[in-house]
Amino acid sequence: MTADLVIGRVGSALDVDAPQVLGVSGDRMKVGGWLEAGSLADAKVLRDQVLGLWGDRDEPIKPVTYASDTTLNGFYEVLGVQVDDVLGQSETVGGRKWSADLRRVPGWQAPLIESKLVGALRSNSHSIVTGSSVPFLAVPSACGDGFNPGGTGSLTMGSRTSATGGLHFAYGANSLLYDTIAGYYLAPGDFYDGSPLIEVSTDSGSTWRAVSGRLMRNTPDAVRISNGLIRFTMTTAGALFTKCEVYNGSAWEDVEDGGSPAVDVTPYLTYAGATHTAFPSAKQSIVVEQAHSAVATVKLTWNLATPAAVDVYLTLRRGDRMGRFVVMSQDGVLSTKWGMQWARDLLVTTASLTGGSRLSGNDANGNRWVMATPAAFTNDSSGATNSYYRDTDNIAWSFAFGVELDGSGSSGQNTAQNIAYQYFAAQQEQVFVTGRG
Amino acid sequence: MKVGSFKVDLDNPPHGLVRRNLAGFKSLVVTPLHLTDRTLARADLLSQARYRGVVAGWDNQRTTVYGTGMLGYLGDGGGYGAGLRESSYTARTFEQWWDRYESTHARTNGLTKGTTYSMPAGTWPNDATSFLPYSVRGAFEFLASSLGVEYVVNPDGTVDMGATGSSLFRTTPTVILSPWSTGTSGELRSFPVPQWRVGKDYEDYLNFVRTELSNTPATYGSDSNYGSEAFKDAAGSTAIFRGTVETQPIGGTTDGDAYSSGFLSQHDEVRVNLSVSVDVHDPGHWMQPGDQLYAWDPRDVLLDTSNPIQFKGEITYPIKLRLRGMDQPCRRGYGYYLMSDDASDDPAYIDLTPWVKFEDGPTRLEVGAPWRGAFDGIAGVNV
Repeated sequence: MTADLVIGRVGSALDVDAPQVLGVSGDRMKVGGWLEAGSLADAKVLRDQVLGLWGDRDEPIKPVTYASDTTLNGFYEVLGVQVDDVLGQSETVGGRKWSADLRRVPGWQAPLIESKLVGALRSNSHSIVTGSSVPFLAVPSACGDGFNPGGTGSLTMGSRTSATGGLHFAYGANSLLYDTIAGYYLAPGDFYDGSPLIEVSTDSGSTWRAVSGRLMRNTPDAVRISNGLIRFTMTTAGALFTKCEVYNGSAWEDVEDGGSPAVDVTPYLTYAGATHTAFPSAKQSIVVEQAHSAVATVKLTWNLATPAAVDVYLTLRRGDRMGRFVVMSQDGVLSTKWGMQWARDLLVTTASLTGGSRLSGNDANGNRWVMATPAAFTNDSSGATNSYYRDTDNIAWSFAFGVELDGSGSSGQNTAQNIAYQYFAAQQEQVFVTGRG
Repeated sequence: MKVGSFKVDLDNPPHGLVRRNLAGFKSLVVTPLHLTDRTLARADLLSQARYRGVVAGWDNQRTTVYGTGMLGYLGDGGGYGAGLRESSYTARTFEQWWDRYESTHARTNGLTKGTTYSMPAGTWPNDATSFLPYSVRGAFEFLASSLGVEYVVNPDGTVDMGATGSSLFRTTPTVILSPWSTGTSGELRSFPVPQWRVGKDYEDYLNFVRTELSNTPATYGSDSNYGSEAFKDAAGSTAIFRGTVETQPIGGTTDGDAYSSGFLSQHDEVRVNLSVSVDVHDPGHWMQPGDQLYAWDPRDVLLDTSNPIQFKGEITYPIKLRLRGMDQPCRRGYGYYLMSDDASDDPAYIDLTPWVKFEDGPTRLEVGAPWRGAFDGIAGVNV
């Protein structure tokens, strides 16, 4: 069943059933419906979806589309939400009522959307200079040609195809995209094209529900974060992620570690350099750090045996072919040579990049994984397992893991070295929905 | 150093135990948690103290007690206090002047030298006709500004001192102020900020300073810096914003030029005003006035792209600010005590906490540009 009413992330197919607009008054609109779930656990996730609409610091204004009356489509502020109690709901029958109070923003059907970009070269030990880093800005191509990058300077306009919509991919090896405000207009239905989406599963990955705002209970069975170009799946088990997938333009492909037989790449984090002391076999928690239409971050926490607590942040940005990871010792306690290695005893051939490393030959699906890090690192192929680790002790380690789509057949900004150079542009992006510009 | 102040209101305290004992020059001591052990020795209480103030008065039938920070022992705002006594002046460093007034003249009213961090080598005065302001407090404020020294008084009465920029205060921030994110990330910590207001103020901007010496106005120094912001006047030419300061004798033209440069460097940047309050119990555990902090808000001008800092999985570009003051309400959760002024009294203090009228609200922070010293005024400028 396709969704009739969609508010922010809530209402994509099957999530929220039979919604309707209950009334419109002035600039206010009241909407509501029924939550129908196959299990109590699922019902609680659906409840969180609705509750997460309110008080979202990252994204206070949500896009709303209503297929039954598209004249009400627009951008709205969520003033309040209400959900009936889900306890006592029978497992498969009936539902719970929900409602939300919305207020439309000035210029509501087509307000000006601004992406504020701040950034600079990522300080690194590989002699990569500002002129080599490639800052970029990805905006849904549904905005048409009315896309103003702000300021003067030359940009090249490319494109990337995400699973949720095409993207303009603007880039330039100059400083324009390090400090600019880009403006564009989007219909509410296109607002999340290519946006990072966080999903949870209560049935170990069979079905997925979108996370709305930052409201994800700790700790779900499985979490998936995707920007339509690359997707990571994580559970509370000890691996950094259990699956990485890349979108080839029409379908998702698993990213392999490059060995034979073909197996999904599953890295584990380590510390103490060449000793490769493994992180524990279970995560302490997974929480959402931030989530809006341009950037989403989840935080994974482990309690090491040392003892020390370690947070690992995984950030996905719209248009990025790499996930950006930061391993950070909580309270700055443990300073060590952080590292990672693949799950199985395997030595594959890698090729080095300036600032990183990649699989040498294409994997079974024709792609190559890519790793980049600003720190000086060792590609440790002394054992039976491919692994990387920092050369020097530090309380933190930043690295990126991504995919070169089409491997040796890639070109332009999609080659492994160039997506690594995009990583060396450390950019922050925030999206503001303003009144009509 | 600004002396600071305190005021505590009490709710119907008993006469015998509390009101009768409220008197001037006792100490109001605050600890981060209420210590219910009533038999701590004076030194032990002070070692747990977050704040100690000197009672300067009471009000409301002894249900309000107020006073100043510990620097009040060196003199009050009116210039009265432990007087000076010099008939002629020999050039001395700040530390030597302190030693002289603490030991030789015994005029520091119990404040003793604590830890010294790297101290500047400069001495004062440069000629025999110099004079100092009337009170010891005024004298040390003048010396500190002239010689580039900062100092802070601990609850136990020891005075730690160091050159501006030394490790007396934190120069690498451990606190980042931001309305976007709270929590811990490595060594950095961020707190909820109920109030966050950013403004930019061009009013005190100067790009030319002339310094005249009060005893010989014909001798002066100057410095200018038109290039830093290149503002234009009404007709489009370079605007000149000029200030003249008068100072006590510090030598000749060369000193005047140096003085002008120092003053100019504190006024030739446009001031970012950040009104911020943080909501955390015992903010003094994380920061004290004098420490550097980070502030980050990319919507406004609070960003410095030459300063990448890893915070919660992202690279942020905060600016560095100096914490210049903290204004804390008397919240529940702290311990408030009236400590006797007589060190031989036993018990050494009375616990006021059961009767304190607790206040609500966050702690207001006063932040300013990193290069400004921790002092209110500039040496010799007539305020």
